[in-house]
Amino acid sequence: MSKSTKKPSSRNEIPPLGKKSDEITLTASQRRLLQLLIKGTESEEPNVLAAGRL
Amino acid sequence: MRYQVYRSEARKQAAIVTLQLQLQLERHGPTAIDLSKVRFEPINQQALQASTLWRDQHFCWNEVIEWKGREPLSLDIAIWFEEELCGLCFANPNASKNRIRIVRLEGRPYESHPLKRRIGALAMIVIEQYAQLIGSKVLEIQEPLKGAISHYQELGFGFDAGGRLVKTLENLVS
Repeated sequence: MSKSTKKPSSRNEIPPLGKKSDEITLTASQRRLLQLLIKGTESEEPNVLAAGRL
Repeated sequence: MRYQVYRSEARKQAAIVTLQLQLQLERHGPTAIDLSKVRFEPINQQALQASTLWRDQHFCWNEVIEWKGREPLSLDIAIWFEEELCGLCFANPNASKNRIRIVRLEGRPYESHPLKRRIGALAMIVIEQYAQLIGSKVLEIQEPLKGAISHYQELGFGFDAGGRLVKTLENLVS
């Protein structure tokens, strides 16, 4: 039995982000957040995002 | 002490996934931003000092030092780009740890900074890692500003039946 080696499906495609990052497993939500990091959010980001108190 | 380890681990894991994202992107060419320069640190004296350089900062973040002492489960995050402080966040789980409230979140005001439009996402990456470690199921924004709501929706939040801006976290899929 020969072991198969994994190859990226396409050189032009970013592989699924962080599905398994070494020992860190990410949820779909976390993968979406990583996608947002690439270009930044579409909506303007206010400086103050939460203004609560203890 | 246990939660000190969890906080540190959450920041560390967020740094690893951010770095790995950068490495993945670089395989496909130049990137608009170098995410390998992002650092997640506690809100310490260095962060407080850097925040005093912010023009018209909204909060006095010094009081967070006292909050940290009062709330042993709380999570504090200073988001740096190299030596530039770009964002600060304080979040606190409730007693059952089921829910984490994002109490304060502020990006560097006025002047442009390298992580503009990414502060919310970066903070949530750390907070979601922390939520996984302590077993929290829901994130809630405490007192979101009106102008920030569409931004939170983009980050996956929505209003629950009680009118709270929340995000229900998924379980890990193996």
